Amino acid sequence: MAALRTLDLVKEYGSGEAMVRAVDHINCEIAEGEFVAIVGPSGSGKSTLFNLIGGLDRPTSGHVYIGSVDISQLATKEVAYLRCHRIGYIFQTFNLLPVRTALENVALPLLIAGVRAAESDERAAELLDKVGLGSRLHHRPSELSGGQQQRVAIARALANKPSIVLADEPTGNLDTKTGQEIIDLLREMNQSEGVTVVSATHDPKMIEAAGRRLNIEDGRLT
Amino acid sequence: MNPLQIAWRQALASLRFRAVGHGMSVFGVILGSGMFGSVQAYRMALAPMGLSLADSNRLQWFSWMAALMALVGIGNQFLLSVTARFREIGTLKCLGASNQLIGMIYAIESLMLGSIGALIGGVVGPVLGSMIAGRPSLEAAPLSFAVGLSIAFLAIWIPIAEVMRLPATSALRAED
Repeated sequence: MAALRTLDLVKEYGSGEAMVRAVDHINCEIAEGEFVAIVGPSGSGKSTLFNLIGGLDRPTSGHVYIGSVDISQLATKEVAYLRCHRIGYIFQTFNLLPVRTALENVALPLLIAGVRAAESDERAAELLDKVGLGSRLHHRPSELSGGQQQRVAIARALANKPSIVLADEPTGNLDTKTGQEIIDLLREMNQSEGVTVVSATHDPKMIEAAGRRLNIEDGRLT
Repeated sequence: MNPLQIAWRQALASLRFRAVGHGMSVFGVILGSGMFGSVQAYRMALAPMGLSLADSNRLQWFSWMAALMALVGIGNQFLLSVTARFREIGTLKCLGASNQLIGMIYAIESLMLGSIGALIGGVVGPVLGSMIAGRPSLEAAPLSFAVGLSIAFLAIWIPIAEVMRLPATSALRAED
């Protein structure tokens, strides 16, 4: 089964003359274990599509399926459950909780999912070790470099073994070398863990690393 | 771990590492419960010495007005602190936190800040007020503490409603 599928997906903003169709009847399918880059100039509808498939925004019409679940039909509570269990998010600006340590940041989605504290800490430490930060468990984000923060964010995104990881310009705030390290790490997680990765990106290296690219322009896939 | 425990830990961490913003909120509660308490203590101290009903009512009015002004001020301060944390809230939503959990985090924070402020203001205010009246007493302290805590608790509701309406996409906005 496809990890992610959209059916006639439409998102419109405004109404009447001022109406803009940011996403215009998009049909796409992303298989489990794929590494896909969503590519398009700013204003192309890339972010809108990204938000729709991540359950961060609701479509005007059409459907988004994650696994067999149509997320466009879910209630707020169900969306929260889905975000927690099925989707991992990675942001351009890392978005770690500034007042918590690396370990606490990674353990949080596990705790929200209902995992016991000791187990959460254990799994969080394991994940941080996997992303190369085994010695930085108790550092706060302000004590970590950008690249290290993004590694923590990747570990956090993987915490609940999501079916899909969404990365929004994950290398956008990093220098080239650090960006490459993050790309390599995502690629490695994709290959060794079988994690499905979908990334909205401008970064040519990221596009190159992806197995497939979806080009979007004026709200349509080209 | 249940949501209350998660919220408790998050609130505690936030209190430890956001001293300045939280300091302002605590100060507001101290002022509110302190002003309320000092006027009330003054009134209570003078009551047995033949304070007229009209004067007593006037002092009641002053004290509740002070509490109301503090409520507005602290409400503003809370709203500001929530606005500054939109990205964090969006991130929590992306991690699967329910509105209920996020609301709990803020309710716990405000109650803890409220307790600290109400404890200080609720003692200092009544002591000063009753001293001015010439009869030092802590008679007004329990009520002042309760008023201070209530101010903090009431002031957080509008910010919490704001937080619940916030879309998870707030996590994605690039500006800080």
